[in-house]
Amino acid sequence: MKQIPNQILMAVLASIVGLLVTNAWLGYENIEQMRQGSLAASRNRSIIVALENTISLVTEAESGHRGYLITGEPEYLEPYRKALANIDGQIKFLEHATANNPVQRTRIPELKRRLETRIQQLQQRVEARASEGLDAGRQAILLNRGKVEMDDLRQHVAEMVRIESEIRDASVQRSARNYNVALSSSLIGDAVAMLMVAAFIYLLGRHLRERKRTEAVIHEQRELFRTTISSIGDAVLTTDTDGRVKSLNRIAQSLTGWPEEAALGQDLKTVFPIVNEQTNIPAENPAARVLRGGTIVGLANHTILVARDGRRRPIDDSAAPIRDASGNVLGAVMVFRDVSERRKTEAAVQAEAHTLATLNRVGRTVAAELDLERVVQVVTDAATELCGAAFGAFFYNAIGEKGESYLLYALSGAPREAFEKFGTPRNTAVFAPTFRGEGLVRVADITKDPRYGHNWPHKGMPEGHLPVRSYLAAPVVSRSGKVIGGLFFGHPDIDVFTERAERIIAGIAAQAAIAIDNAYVYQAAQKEIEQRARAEEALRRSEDKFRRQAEELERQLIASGRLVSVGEITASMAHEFNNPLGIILGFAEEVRSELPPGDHNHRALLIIEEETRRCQKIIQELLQFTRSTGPEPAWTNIRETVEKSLALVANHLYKQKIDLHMGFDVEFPQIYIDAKQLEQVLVNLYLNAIAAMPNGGNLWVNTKIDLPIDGAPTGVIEVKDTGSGIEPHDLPKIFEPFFTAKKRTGLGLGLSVCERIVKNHGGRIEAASQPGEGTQVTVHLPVERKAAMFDPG
Amino acid sequence: MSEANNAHSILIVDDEENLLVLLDRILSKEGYAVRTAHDSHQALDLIANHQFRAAILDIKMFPIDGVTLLGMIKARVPAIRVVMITAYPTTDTRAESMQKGAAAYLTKPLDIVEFKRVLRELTH
Repeated sequence: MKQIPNQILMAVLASIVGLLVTNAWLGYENIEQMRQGSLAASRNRSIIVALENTISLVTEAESGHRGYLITGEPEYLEPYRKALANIDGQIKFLEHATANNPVQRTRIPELKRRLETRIQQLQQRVEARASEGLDAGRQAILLNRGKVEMDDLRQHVAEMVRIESEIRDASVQRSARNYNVALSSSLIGDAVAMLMVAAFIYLLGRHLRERKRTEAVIHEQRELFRTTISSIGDAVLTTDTDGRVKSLNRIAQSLTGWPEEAALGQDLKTVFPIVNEQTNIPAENPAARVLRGGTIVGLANHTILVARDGRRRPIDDSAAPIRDASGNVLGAVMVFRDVSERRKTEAAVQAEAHTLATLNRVGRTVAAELDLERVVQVVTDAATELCGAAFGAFFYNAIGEKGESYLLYALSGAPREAFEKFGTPRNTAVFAPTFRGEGLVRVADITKDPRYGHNWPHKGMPEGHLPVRSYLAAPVVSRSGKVIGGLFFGHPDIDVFTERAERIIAGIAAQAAIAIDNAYVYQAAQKEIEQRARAEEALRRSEDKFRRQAEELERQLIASGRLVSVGEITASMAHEFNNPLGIILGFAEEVRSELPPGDHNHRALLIIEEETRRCQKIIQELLQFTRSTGPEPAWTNIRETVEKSLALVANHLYKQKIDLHMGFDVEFPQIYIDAKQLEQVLVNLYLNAIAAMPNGGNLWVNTKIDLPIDGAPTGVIEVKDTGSGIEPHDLPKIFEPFFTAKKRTGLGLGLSVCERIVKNHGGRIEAASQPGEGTQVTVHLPVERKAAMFDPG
Repeated sequence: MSEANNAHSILIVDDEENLLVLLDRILSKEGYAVRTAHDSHQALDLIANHQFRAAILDIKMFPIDGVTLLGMIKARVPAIRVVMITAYPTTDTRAESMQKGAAAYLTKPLDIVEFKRVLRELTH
């Protein structure tokens, strides 16, 4: 609930007071008016009474004087005189009472005059009776003289009484009104005041409840804070602005060794003395720094807290100023913790990191190292260091030139002489499990082990053996499961080797196995390489021989022009090459199949294979050229043949981005021809064109009928490219055998073969070329040829 | 190598020494017990002293050619499976080889994969 501000409460209270004061004043006013009204009413009554008294006094005086007049007895004059004497008092009262009433006041003189007139009449009669006797008096009575005056007087007084009554009535009415006003205003005022008091009480109650609740919350938070501070895992200590300890939680008490009651009020330097870990020089009081700078301070690393009992603990901490709501520094708070455990962990982690780094180094070395001796030495040294052994040995099987295996060893931590005289470890109960590859052996004291000391002649360690009590041994087992050897470690003290050392050694043994395997593989690979070198040499010689013979042949052929007669020789020679090439290829494939694809010799062997196949291809070409079999003609759809031949080179065209344009003459007749040979011709022409357009271009293949005026009709197939073209001086030579523009891929027999095939079919082939623009080869085939016309040649 | 497993003992006869080395190597790796001879005389000696499941004979050899050797071997060891290999396949030698009991007639240069498959089938 929202707290009600005190101002509101005060305002409500002030309104209540104001209202009550106003009400009281109004009440007073009304009562005063009522009092005035009541005073006026009583005066009115007195005036009326006085007026009536006056009339009755006059009447009394009259009846008295009448009695005198009749009897002449003076005692009758007594009431008469008394009445007359009292009338004056009444008149004086009336004069006084009507002083504030101008209406009545003006009537008083008239009243007095009329009274005097009447009293004078009575006086005169009394004097007349006294002097003249009974008759005069009787006369006056009988004549009833003075009755008019009396009536006038009565009327005048009645008038005055009436006015006074009116005034009184008005006053009474006003009084009643005042009464009502006073009553209602006091009732309303009281009601409002009571409502406001009720509101005030309600608000005050609420205010008080809230305050109570707030206080409860504050109390609870204070408790929570106190509990938090005391149960927090870190030590917390606070000081005032003078650096005197104000509080310290349980941990802080335990770390400083100061109980709270002893520490309170002490200087921080006394309770919390810190020194530099390395120099032991007292470190600066952090609270002082905080109080001076007003900023948060992290303590320098490597700080030692010296406890009250002298214990030293490395701590980690920070200090910060305590500020009130307006930012004034009230003191400092320090949080610190004992980092001994963490230091230990860090040291352990560092040791572990060192181990890993060493393992990594070993791993890298043994992976990269192919020399067996180096591998085992690195492994032995690293393992000895990492497992904490005083000395270590690695006994392993090596493979000799003739494939026989023998035992070698590497040592670490001891000179070679220390072992030399003992020979190799024998298959005793201690060593056997390792050499059988049965897993690690770790013994706290080997001399106490039941397996120890059963073997003659030494019954334990031979004389002069390095002192071994702690013993650790691991077999080194190759991927194939064969035991390569064993790692042995010793230490003159008991129980040196930990479980961790065992794990490390297991890891190193596994790496050593891989490295030794690799070294064996390397030895084997060396032998392979020698064989391969021999094969390569044979190939090189054979290639040389072939090239020389081919060159010789070419020279002879061109020189003699007896191409066909040499064909047989060429064929048999080409044939002779097939065998050695096959052997080379066989060896290359064979050796390569034994190498992993990543081996750098793998590629070399692939090249040998590739080049050998190239030789075989050249020989195929040569054989094709010299083949003596004649064409096997049939009626052939040229369009189909052209399309089929193009399909064979479609991939080349696509790869070299060459656009193909075909034009077929629908009138082209079937031709009696060997389709296979024509296909061979066309493919040869396409391949030449493609070779001339390494960077793309256009290839046109057109068929049409040529109807010369002076000769037989021919079917024409044109193959035209936009390639590099042929130099004019080369153009006449292109159909000669062994002429080639493709130095590396062909023998130069392609077009020569083409020409022979076309000629065999009774046709002709011709070429036209413009260097840099392209070449067009045109094949003319006789349309009207018959099988009988074939030259079986 | 042991000859106990003579089902897999193979004799290779070829005057091309290097081809012998290659085939020896390939077939040994296939698990065959291989013996090689570089002429027919040597081959006949081996046949006389050892048992072979199969023989591989080159045709063009001197002084006794492979087809003749085939006849001589088959006369001594009728059960032997013989594969003829030649760089000069002709209809005549093929027919004569088959007639003399050759199990296969292969052309040089040998397709190694095919060669191994044929041998596997023959020595099965």
